[in-house]
Amino acid sequence: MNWPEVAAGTALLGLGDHGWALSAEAPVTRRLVVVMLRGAVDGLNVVIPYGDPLYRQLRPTIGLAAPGSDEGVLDLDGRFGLHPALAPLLPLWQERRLAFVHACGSPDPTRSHFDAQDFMESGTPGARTTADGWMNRLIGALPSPHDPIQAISLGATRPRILAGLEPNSNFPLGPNAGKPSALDRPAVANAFAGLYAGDDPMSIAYRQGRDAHQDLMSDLAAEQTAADNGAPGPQGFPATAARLAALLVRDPRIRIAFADLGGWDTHVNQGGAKGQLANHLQPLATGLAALAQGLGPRLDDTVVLVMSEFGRTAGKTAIREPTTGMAMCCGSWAARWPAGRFMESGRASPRRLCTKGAIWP
Amino acid sequence: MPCSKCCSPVPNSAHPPLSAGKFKTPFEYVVSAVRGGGVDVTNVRPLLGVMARLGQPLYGCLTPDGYQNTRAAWLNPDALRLRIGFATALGSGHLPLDRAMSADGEDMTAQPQSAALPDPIDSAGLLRLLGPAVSAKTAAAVSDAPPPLKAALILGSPDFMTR
Repeated sequence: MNWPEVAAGTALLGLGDHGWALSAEAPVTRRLVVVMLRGAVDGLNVVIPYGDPLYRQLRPTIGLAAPGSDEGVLDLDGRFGLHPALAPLLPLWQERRLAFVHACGSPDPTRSHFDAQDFMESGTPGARTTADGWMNRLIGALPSPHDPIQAISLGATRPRILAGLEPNSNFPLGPNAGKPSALDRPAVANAFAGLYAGDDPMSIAYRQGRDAHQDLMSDLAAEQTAADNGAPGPQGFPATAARLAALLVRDPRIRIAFADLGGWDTHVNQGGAKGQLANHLQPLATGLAALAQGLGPRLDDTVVLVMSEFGRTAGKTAIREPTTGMAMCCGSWAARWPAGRFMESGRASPRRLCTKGAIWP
Repeated sequence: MPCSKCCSPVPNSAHPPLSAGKFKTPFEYVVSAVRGGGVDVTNVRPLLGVMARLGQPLYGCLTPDGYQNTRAAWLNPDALRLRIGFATALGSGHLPLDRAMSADGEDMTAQPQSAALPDPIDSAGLLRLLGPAVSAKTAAAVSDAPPPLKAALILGSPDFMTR
């Protein structure tokens, strides 16, 4: 796969030379989990450059207050702070497992959410004709690329980022997760097994799909039983993340996973410390913390990448400008990164402010 | 009425087994199954849902190239499993194509709300329609199968995956 192309669109910068998934002799199963926030997250109100005087100047109303004040940000390094709704992530930062990459993103200047998401998923900014997603191409680099359980996506349909020739598994979430499909009924499975018993491509695909699905369903059922012993699980992303962690811990064959969350297009009534953005950040943070906790020691072998298609203008008035492509990475690999853990400064300096208040990567 | 393009029988001597043909796109597969089965459709949402889950949302192509029509683009383990799930739901009469419901693809396999057993698609009619396009292996499996699974086996067979 083409690492520079991938790095251009995401925050995998700096990970490539670790060769995390490319070595067949790797003693441990290293994993990549990608969480995509659809709708363009306002990165400047997620990891806040509160130490920069320009921030308050440009965001007199929706800007967040300095640490220590009422509803102030949670200090990270004396210059940047975390949105208070992201408090569950603070321990990961303190353990040096979390890093933020500010002012990165797709170099393509499109203002269309649709196109920008497409580019972030194809990994080829500006090229709309790319048929597959970069995570699908990544599967091709794994030791046994034809096992469909190696890459999974959680959601209603297979996402663009996993579209392509390499097999992968998708399963829906919500009330239907774990619900048996037709082939889970023995009478149906037995009837079809005879028709797909050969060595032709269709028969092979059938058996791979059936086996991967059965394995995922049994992993999921085991997790569900364990979870039901406690209180009713949280809804939405926290539940998804906990489920994903359980799958990753139970099934070491899963190397690549993808989940997405919508609703980040908060340019109207976004709010500050409270409001729409905060209401979205809270379950995100709870979910990511649940993922980290659920992974336990396996977190050491897992990179979790959170990304969005673009961000928001620094000034409040101009809306829908591609601005800070904001991304967060957590995982112990971050601990090997240079001190500071900001791959790129996101200061809204006049030098970086371009037309209409956009901050370009 | 079955469509003339995907489902019409051709003279026996000239027709190779369908599994030797071209792998259907999700659109071709879904449409040929519904039309071949002679199902009346008033609610298309389950069909739109399965096309989307199979990666070919109706009028939803992302790039200016249009959808591909190669086997490599459409044959993968997850897709085949979904096709067979769809064939089973459609063939056994469980798809609510005659009433409103959510487009959630997973509802395809749900039991109907009413207590009455659904009517499976007429498998004998389907066999007559497809004629030599159904392999001996599939025909044998169909004759051994319980009635609700007969049409499902035809529609989910390797023979019906190609055109």
